[in-house]
Amino acid sequence: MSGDSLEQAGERNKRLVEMGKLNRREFIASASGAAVLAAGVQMALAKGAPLSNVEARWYKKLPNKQVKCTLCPRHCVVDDAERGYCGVRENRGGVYTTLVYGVPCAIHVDPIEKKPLYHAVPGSFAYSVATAGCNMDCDYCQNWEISQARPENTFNYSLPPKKVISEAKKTGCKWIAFTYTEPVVFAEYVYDTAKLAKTAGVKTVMITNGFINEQPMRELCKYLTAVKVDFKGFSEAFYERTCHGKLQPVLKTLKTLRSEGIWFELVNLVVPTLNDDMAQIKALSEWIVRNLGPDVPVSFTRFMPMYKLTNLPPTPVETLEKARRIGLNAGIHYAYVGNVPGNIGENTYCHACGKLLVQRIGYDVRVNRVKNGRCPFCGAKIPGIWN
Amino acid sequence: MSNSRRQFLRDVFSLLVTAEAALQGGCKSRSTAEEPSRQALAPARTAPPQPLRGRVVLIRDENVIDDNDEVDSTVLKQMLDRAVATLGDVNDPREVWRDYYSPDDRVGVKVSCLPGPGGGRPVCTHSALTDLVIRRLTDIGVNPGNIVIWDRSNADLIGAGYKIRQPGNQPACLGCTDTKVGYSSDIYVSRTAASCLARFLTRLCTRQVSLPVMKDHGIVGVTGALKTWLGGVHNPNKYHPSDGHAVMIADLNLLPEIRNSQGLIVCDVLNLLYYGGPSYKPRTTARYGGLLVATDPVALDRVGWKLIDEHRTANGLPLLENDPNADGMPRKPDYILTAGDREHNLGEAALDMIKLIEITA
Repeated sequence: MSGDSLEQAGERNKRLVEMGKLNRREFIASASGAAVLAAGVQMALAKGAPLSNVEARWYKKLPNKQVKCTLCPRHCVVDDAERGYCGVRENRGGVYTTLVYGVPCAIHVDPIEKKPLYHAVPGSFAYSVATAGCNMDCDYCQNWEISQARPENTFNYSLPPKKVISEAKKTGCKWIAFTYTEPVVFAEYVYDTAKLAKTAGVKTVMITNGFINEQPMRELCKYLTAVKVDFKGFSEAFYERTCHGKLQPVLKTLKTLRSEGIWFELVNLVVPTLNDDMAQIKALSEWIVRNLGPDVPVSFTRFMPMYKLTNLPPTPVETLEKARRIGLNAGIHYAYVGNVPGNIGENTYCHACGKLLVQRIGYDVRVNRVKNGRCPFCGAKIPGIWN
Repeated sequence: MSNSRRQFLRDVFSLLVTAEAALQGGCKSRSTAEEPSRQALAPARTAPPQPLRGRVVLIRDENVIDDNDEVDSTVLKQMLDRAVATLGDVNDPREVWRDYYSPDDRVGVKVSCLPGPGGGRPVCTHSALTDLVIRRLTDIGVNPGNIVIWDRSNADLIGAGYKIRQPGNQPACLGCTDTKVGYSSDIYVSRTAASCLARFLTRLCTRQVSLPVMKDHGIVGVTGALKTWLGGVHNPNKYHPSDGHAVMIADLNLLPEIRNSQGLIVCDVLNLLYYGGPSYKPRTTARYGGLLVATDPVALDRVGWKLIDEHRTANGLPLLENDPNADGMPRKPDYILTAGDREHNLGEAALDMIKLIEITA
């Protein structure tokens, strides 16, 4: 997943400082505020919460105490006492149960740019939660320690939906983000929290791989404010071999989001030699414009060696810049370069007049000129959530 | 107290101290300084004698277990000794045990207990068998305090009839998820398989005795000697692909931590669940009264697959390869064939190349 822990972000930024990509002042600016907030958040909550025993919302009962999960396209058929592929949903005597409802293992306060969302109240903060588990297994996952773990192997907090909202408000966050691992696997928790948050006036965003069935996605859209989809690559083979998922259901999810009218952005992590073929990126960009429209922001982000893919180098910046150019040429209005602090590809430029609207360095928003959702220079409407 | 035993206890209790840190981020990576290497804690692990490729002993005695799942330990002891001696083609089974284990070893006894908490004790490794195996280990000089019975969790072990025991003068009995144990902080990668391994496999033990059970499995077809090691990884759910092709299980068994530590395999087939597994289904569980003994996990599983198919046929059920799961996905346990292919070479998968020695009391 694209979201990483504060520690990982810190480590990454340290590496960038060493590489000369980020100066010391920028590093401190991007990390320190969130670090202080996050430390306060975690100290306030008790650790070691027991796992939940809440009946799952999306499944079917089968004969012989089997169940079939209908949450994601895997459609796991699960025997009694066994778990689905995600590792956090268990068949208990024929009742499919989520073990992670209200028991996140990661809680941080992050800038919204870290997700990354670039058209969603730039400079605001997100109270970010994740439970253990994922319904994919990407070879480069930067949060594999929790995404690929079972919840009994992580330290968990007790944080029911109401408490998420109160903590978000207490820490001054405009957003609640379901992130780091894969929110699809804790969809019941997302659903209930987003529903309460909507009433409480707190925005919610789900950072997801989009590997979810249509029905649950539509139900979640009723209450979520925004969605960010980690799009792995425009290739079925890449999805299957490198991510242990499938492409077509994700494309379907993107169309679902479009039809629901919810705000969403895309990220495409570009991995050297595996999904960095420019013809593929061109095909992806054209598909996006054709099926989702030109206003969906797309970030081409930098891969760093991680988890099972430690044998590959970080993505060359030139590759990302080229991908961004291809995206823009294909008609995407807002194509970005991600994970390269200081690159001009992090900035938002008006699609109509080309003027600089939002200047970013890493997670730090230096300038935001968008006024009431419009370009102050030409008056063009800038897609996104700005207030 | 011998040095090796003292070392074993020290290792376990040192883990107790570091457990919280180790579990903080799941199997979070930590620095090398925080986690001593296996070499620092355990004697250098050399590969055991070459497995007796393709050699499997099946011994049966209908008197070993009754309808109430009560095991006659005297009969079981005779079966175990005879099967092990036959495997090694010797008169004294202790000779075979000595071939694979030495008094200096710290031995993990891997049992299979998953459906125990749900009332599935009859299709878990029977504790009577585990006790006999431990007796044979101590007979050849392994210190009882250097033995640990283990599976995934304490709850599984308790459900299967085991009593959790801390390290001491008697064999310990602990689950991987016990805070005193846990998993490696590093990921172990073998082709498509990638997992943090239980510290029983990476640090605490120098050898393993594997005591799996043989069952039908709703996703991968068969669970036996190869699949039992999923009890020692942090992410067993990732080894159950929805398309039924569980190549990862074969790949996992390539890891030296498993391949080189495994000695004898004594598969509990006192009951044989031939349909509806892996959870216990009394109506499709045969009181079989058998043990499968081998050092070749592939050959043992191939024989087990055949036994399951024979029972299915006898009961009017389709063969595994013709019996997809409820979602229409195939359940032919072809990971067993993969484990025996030239690339994996973990054992013999061709039935006509397996020397099955059948003994009926």
